[in-house]
Parts: sequence; C-alpha cells; structure tokens
Amino acid sequence: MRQTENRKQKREKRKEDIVLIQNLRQDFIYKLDAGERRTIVMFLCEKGYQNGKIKIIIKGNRSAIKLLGIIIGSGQQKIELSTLQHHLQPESKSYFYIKSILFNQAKFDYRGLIRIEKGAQKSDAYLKSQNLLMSPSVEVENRPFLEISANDVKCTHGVTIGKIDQQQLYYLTTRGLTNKEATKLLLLGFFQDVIQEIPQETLQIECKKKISDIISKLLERTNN
Amino acid sequence: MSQLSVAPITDYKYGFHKPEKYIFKAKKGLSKKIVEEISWYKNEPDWMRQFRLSSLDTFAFLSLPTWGADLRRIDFADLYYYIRPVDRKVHSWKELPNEIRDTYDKIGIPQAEKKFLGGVNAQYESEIVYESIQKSLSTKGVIFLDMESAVKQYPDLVRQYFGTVVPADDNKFAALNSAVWSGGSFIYIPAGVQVKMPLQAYFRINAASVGQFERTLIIAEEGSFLHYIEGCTAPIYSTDSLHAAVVEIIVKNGARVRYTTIQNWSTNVYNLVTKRMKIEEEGIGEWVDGNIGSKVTMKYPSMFLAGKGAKGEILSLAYAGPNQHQDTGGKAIHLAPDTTSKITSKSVSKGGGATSFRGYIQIFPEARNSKVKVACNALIADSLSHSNTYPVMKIGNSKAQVEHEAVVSKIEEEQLFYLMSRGLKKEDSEAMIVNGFIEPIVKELPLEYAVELNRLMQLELGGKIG
Repeated sequence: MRQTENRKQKREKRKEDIVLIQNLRQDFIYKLDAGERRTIVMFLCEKGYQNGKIKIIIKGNRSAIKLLGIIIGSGQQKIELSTLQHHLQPESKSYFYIKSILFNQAKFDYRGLIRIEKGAQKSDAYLKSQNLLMSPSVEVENRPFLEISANDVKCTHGVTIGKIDQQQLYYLTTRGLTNKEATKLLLLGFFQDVIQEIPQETLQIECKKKISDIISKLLERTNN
Repeated sequence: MSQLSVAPITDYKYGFHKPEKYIFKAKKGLSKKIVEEISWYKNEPDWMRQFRLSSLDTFAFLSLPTWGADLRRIDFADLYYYIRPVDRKVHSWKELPNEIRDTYDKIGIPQAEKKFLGGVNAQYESEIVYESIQKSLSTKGVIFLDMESAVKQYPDLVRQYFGTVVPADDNKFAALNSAVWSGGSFIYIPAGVQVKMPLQAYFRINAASVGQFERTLIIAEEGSFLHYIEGCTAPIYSTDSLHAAVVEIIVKNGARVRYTTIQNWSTNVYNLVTKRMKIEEEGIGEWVDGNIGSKVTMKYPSMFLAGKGAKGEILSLAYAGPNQHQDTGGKAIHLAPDTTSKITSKSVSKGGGATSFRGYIQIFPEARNSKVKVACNALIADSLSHSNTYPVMKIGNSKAQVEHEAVVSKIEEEQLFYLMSRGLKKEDSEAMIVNGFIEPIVKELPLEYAVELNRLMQLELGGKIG
C-alpha cells in the first residue's frame, strides 16, 4: 500500500517537472537551483502575433534543463521568440530543441543565446533549431548566438532551414499514398523526435493528436 | 596618452627614434584641406578628388558601429592620413623591435625576406623575378599595378568599377578609406586568361606595398582565373595604428577568383577592413582569410551571389592571444537562383584573447534552390579567454536549404594525455592539437605560408620549434 503511494507521489512529482508553455503572451523566466531537473514543453500553435522570451538562468550547479519546442505558424502570423540559456554555475546542462513548420505567409524570427559565465566550467549547452518551410512566401530568421567565457565547456548549436525532402515524398507516393497523405506523414515525422523526448506519455499522445489535427486543416486549406 | 591611441610617429611605444626623412607628410588629423592635399600630391583627375571629398562628408556623417569590438579609443584627430612610404620604413634591421626580429628567426624566414617584411628599405632580390613576371602578365593583357598608377593609366576602367562593390557610404571605415586611400593593387584579367601562379602584393615592391588605407580593385572578366595573395605569416611591424583597407572584386560570368589574406600586424594595430566580392553567373569566388595579429580586427569578407549558379566560399581562421580581439567571419547574400555558399570558420583564443565569429546569410525570394552551409569551430585554450558566435540567417524562400552549426570546446584532455604519454611536452602537445584543428584551412594556403603558419602557431602556444 505504502509502496504504491510512494510511486504515485513520484509520478506526481515527475508530472510537476514539466512546464507547459502554450503561448508567448508574457515572458517566461525560470531560475534553476542546484541539482534541479526540469523539462519545458513549448507548444506554439495558437494563431495571431506571438512575441516573447524564454529565459533560463542556471544559478545552481549540477542542474539540467530541457526545452522542447514545437511551433506551427500559418496565415499571416508572425512569431518572435527569444531564448536564453544562461549558465552562471558549473556542471549544469541545458538542452534546447526547437522545431518549426511554417505555412502560408508566416514569419518566424528566432533568437537563441547561450551564455556561459566565467566560473561555469564543465557546462554542457546545446541548441538545435530546425525549420521546415511549406510555402514560397514564408520568412525565417535565425540568430543562434554563443557567448562563452569559460574554457572547459561544451557548447554546440545547429540550425537547419529547408523544405520537405522530395525524395521521401516521392517514395511515399509510389507506395500508394496521396500527395497530401504523404506530406502529412512526413510533417508528423518531422516533430516525432521532439515529441519522443517529452517525459510523459499522456502529454506525448495529446501533442501528437493536436499536431495531427492542425496539420490536416492547414493542408486542406492550402490545396483549395 | 594610453598605448592604445596613436602616438605620433616619432615616439611610438617601442621607443626607437625614427629619422625624419621628410618627403611629403600630411598634417595630423582629417580635414577637407588634407584630403585635397593628398589628391593634389597624387596628381589625380578631378572625379577622384570629388569622390574623396564626398566620402569625407559621408565619413563625418556615419557613426562608429555599436556592436563588435570597442573602437571608442581610436582618436581620428591624432592620426596621420598620408605619409609617403619612404617615411614609413624603418631604416635598418637593428631598428626593429627585438620580439619581431626573434619571431622572424624562429619561423625561419630568409634574411632578404626578413628585411622586406620588417619594412627595412632594402632592394629585395625578387626585383628581377618581378620584372619577368610583369612581362609575362602584360603579354596576356593582364594589368597589375598599384592603385595610384591605375587611376592615371587606365582612368576609364578604374572609374567604371571603383566604389561599385563597396560604396563609400557602406560603413564609416569604408568612407574613411574612400576619402584618404593610398596604395593597394589594381588587377584586370581579360576574358579567358588564366593566371597560373598566385599574384602577390610582394611583387609590387616599389609601390607602397604596406599601406594604412589600401584600396584594392580586382576585375576578372568572363572565364578568367586569378589567385591573389595579400600579407604574410611573419608579423608585419607597423607604426600606423589604424588600418582601414577596402577590397573590391568583380567576378564575371564563369570566372574564378581566390583572394588569400594572412594578416599578422603587430599588436598595436586596429585592423578594420571591408572586403566584398560580386559574383556573376556561374562564377566562383573564394576568400581565404587568416587573422593572427593586430590588437583588434573587424573583418567580414562578403559575397554577393548575383548571377545564376554563382558559388562562393569563405575560409576564416582567427587566433587571438593576450589583449587581442579577432572579430571576424563572413557574409553571403544570395540574389540569384541556384547559388551556393559555404563558410568555414576556425578560431583559437588563448591567454585572455577574444574571438568572435559574425556570420550573415540572406536568401532573397528570387534565389530559388540556393544552398548554404556554415560551420564554425572555436577552441578556447585556457580559462582567461573568450569566444563568441553571432550568426544571422534570413531566409525569404522555401526552396532554399540552409545548414549551420557551431561548436565551442577546449583542448581535449584525452588527446593531450595521449601525446604527453608519448613523451611530448605539454606545450608541444597543445601546439600539435591546435595545428591539427586549423589544418583544414591551412592546407588551402600555398606551401610556404602553411609551413610558416604552423611554426607561428607553435611559437604562440609556447612550444619550441625544432
């Protein structure tokens, strides 16, 4: 009996570890204490102008933060996002993984700064931004910055911007899928690795469902 | 007066007295009168005089960049804007500062070359070589002159292209250069001509080879090829503390130009350079840019990919030692379809030095099927040093493909341990690792440069040569 209660508590705690951000109406600033581990899931699919900052201040050592970003932009929407991974203390990890798919005339302006202060040795910071462009009139701007003042660190960022792989699309259509079905499958696949990292199954399923609905609607509209 | 600002030429920080061999020297400071004097002295046509004067107005109007290195300590009123090269040269080998002489010895530069590099006014033995090269070039129709002579001998050609790739109002230092430029090279390669050996400013020895405000213009006509090399691995001792050069290159359809720079100014120099290339249809433009010296360098070689299928590549190498700030990088602007660009940057900071990579990629809606790849690696050798990365990517086209990655790391303990376990000293091991790190760029240099550069890095990292 007691054991199950403990497990329940643990599960509750793990749930708490996840912070969900669904819009950028206000800036999100989070200070990470020593030994703290946290995952932030940013699910931005709301319509309309979005502008906000996500600032993670690592003020304790041996802590870890993970930000998983899913962004779908459409219509004439403009999304402006800034993120900060500010390492003040040593031996902490920050891992940001942001993926966006942009339709119509959507604009996405992303600034991501990794800043390692002098004493923050053995920091491990990672930032990846991947953007898929679905229409010729979308605009993307990426500014992944690094400011490093400690030497014993590992800091990496990567950006890719591109369109759907035509070969993959062709392959799927030769297997009998319509163009739209194949596109949808590839777009869902694009988000798959971010979704997999969400440490809570119910939330994973929820995200997948939501993404699938939104993409279906957008694809229908583009074809008409 | 702090050592940062520019001391008068007669009492600079190394403290040796330079005899005043007065030929022509403009007064200190910058004014309309000085610019007119420079133009008068060079006996220039009126259009160039007007160009200089309007650039001076632009210079006064533009403000210093608010980003990058700290430039507020440059005192524009305390500089000489024109000195005849004769005055700039040191008159005997012994007058050179010890550390510079030592470096020359250690990296193994022949005596004759040493004198030239040190700015000692010696007749360099390559004079004869130079003559024969000039002859073989001119039979092909290649024009290779210093800028002043080109303005006089080929006024129409110069006027047609001068200031078209880097306009005077591009930035404050381009405006300054446009107002007071002196020296630099002018190269014209006729259609279809392949210049097999790399041309070097070296061979233009009688002209002002090392200038404070150099102005270089290269025009490569259709289907031609040129490799131009500027600077050298050995430290160049300069008494001028501000260098603001402009390099303009026009690569016509199907032509290919490679421009290699190895910059190793002494560490009292602010090196603020604007370099840009316009690449037309199916042309190839390449910048190989190595920055080792100077106090502050701000230099971002750029490529305008203006014609269909144009290709551009930038290889950037930076080393920042104590009190140095290397703010370098590259820019690629895609204006036409099927254009590709690649930027590779490697930087090393040590002993409190700071390196910054600044990249700029823009893909216009017209530039369909363009491809970009940017990779920057930074090595921070100790806990005093810094490294920054500032890439910007603006994509206005869904048919483009952009990849960017950056990694900042230290010298791997494991590699160090391995080398040391084989009996190498720590400094030597570090130097070996750093040389391995920069190798992809160094291997693009002509052999003698590569050898000297490797030795120099070893020296900078405290290792011994031999």
